[in-house]
Amino acid sequence: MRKLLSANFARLKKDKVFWLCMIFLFLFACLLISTQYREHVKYGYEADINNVLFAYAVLIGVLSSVFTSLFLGTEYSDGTIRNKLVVGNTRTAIYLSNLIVSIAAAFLMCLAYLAAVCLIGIPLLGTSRSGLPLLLKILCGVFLASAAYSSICTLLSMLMQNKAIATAVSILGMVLLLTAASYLAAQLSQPEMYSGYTLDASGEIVQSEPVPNPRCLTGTKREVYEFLYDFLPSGQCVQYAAMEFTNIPRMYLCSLGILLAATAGGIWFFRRKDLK
Amino acid sequence: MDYILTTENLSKHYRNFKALSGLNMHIPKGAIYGFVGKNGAGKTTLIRLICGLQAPTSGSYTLYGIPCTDRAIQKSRRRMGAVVETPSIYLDMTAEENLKEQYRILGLPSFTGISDLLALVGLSDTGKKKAKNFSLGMRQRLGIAVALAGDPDFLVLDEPVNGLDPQGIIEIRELVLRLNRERQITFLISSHILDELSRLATHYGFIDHGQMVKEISAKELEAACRKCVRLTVSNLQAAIPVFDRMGLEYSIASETDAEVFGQVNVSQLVLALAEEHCEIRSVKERDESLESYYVNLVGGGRHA
Repeated sequence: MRKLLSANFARLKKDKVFWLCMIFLFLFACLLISTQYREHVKYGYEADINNVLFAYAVLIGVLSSVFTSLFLGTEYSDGTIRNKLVVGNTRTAIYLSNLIVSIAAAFLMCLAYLAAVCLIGIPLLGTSRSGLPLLLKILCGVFLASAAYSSICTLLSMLMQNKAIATAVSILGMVLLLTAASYLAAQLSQPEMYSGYTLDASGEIVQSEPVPNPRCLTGTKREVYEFLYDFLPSGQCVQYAAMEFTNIPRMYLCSLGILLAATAGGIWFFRRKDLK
Repeated sequence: MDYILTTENLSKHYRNFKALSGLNMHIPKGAIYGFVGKNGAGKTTLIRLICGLQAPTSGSYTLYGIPCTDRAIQKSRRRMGAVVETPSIYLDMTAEENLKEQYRILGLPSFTGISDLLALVGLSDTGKKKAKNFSLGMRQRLGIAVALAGDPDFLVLDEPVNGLDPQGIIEIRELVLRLNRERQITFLISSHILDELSRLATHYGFIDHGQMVKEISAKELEAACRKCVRLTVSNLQAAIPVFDRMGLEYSIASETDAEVFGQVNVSQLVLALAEEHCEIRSVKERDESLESYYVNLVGGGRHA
């Protein structure tokens, strides 16, 4: 496996899509920081680096899916996966080495964003007022969520021999996961009570008595939604980006669970797959 | 005889389609084994199985004497190389980068052999040109170079001259012959271009509908395909002493038919037989090629 990793990382170093993703995240961080800074200078808003610190978490799934499906899909489209198998590498070793390089690439993309935050964000917006332990916890969570994303993308890319289809399915899947996370966030953020506003006879706006919000989730349904929000990597990333979460250990466990289940399932199917 | 690869009742089914059906095959060490069959006969399926890309449905094969069910077969594959269907090369890399990548996969400690390998396949001067800009022949040769990276003693080439121009075909042929002669590499070459195969192969395997129809050495095939005259005579017992007296090489085909090999002076033969009161009822000249041998073997209606 060491040999396969060496070959994969050598290829990663020269991979255009990987470098484009890295540059994109670096520039994305620069854009967010400069926007924050301009608003601070122009309107006097308080500069808070926390607003941009983990914003990349929302994008990492889509970028990871683009990179992984194209990087691993090349093995099928160029037929080079055969070179690995013909010379006696096991399918498990091939799968795991591909997974590791996908996870490493996702981590490096996160670091490209954080490099921009450190180089430009801290001088312009100052340091975070959240404690270091909290920041490390979130960082660890984002890394775990991106590993879970990578494991799903690796599974799809290793089981679909058509690069174009694998890429389309991976990207679509990640967009769907983000949409699901947005929907869950919207449902969970419904207030318990809401007040109506009416115009009285004199033409003044009068606030009515607060009434229960029928769309506010309660009971088992709320628990299921909360679990799904913590379970989906996209839900976790939305929470990490906003630095607002309730149950970080559960999110860690969910990411680990996805990573292990996708890898075990992927290896099981890949070992039985007829390759061309 | 030492065999690099043997298969025993090897079968591969894709749902209801039987791609291979009880195939038996024997590739001797040092041979250039021409694997002949029409499209869809099962040539590529067999290659996929022995390369570990797919698992057999039933039956077995041995590689260097190691059965396919033995875990050690993974290690024995380290001694083989293959170009299956299309050359397995990264199109966005140069020839040298492709070889470096394969060297890393093999865990070779240095890249020192790469320039020799590129020279061997005639790609030394490709420089920074990406493989996607290579001609088909160059890609094929790069694929062979990648397969040769681990210094294998068994090389599997699936349709290596398909789509190549005449010059490309000659280059591949010369490369195969040189590797077989200089490095004693055993080759399994699948092809349906019989004329080309007949210039290379030392052994043949004819496959049809997933089954091995015939395995034959090139020498045996040459004997079978020799130029001969088939005679139908009234009295074969009388004709045999005449053949012997004239020093002809012959074989008896039936009670009335004999095949006489080599150049025959028909006038002299007719006169000599007439003296023995033996009439010639028909004379047919036969000059069988690999192609006609194959067509006779698998049925006239189906061509390679």
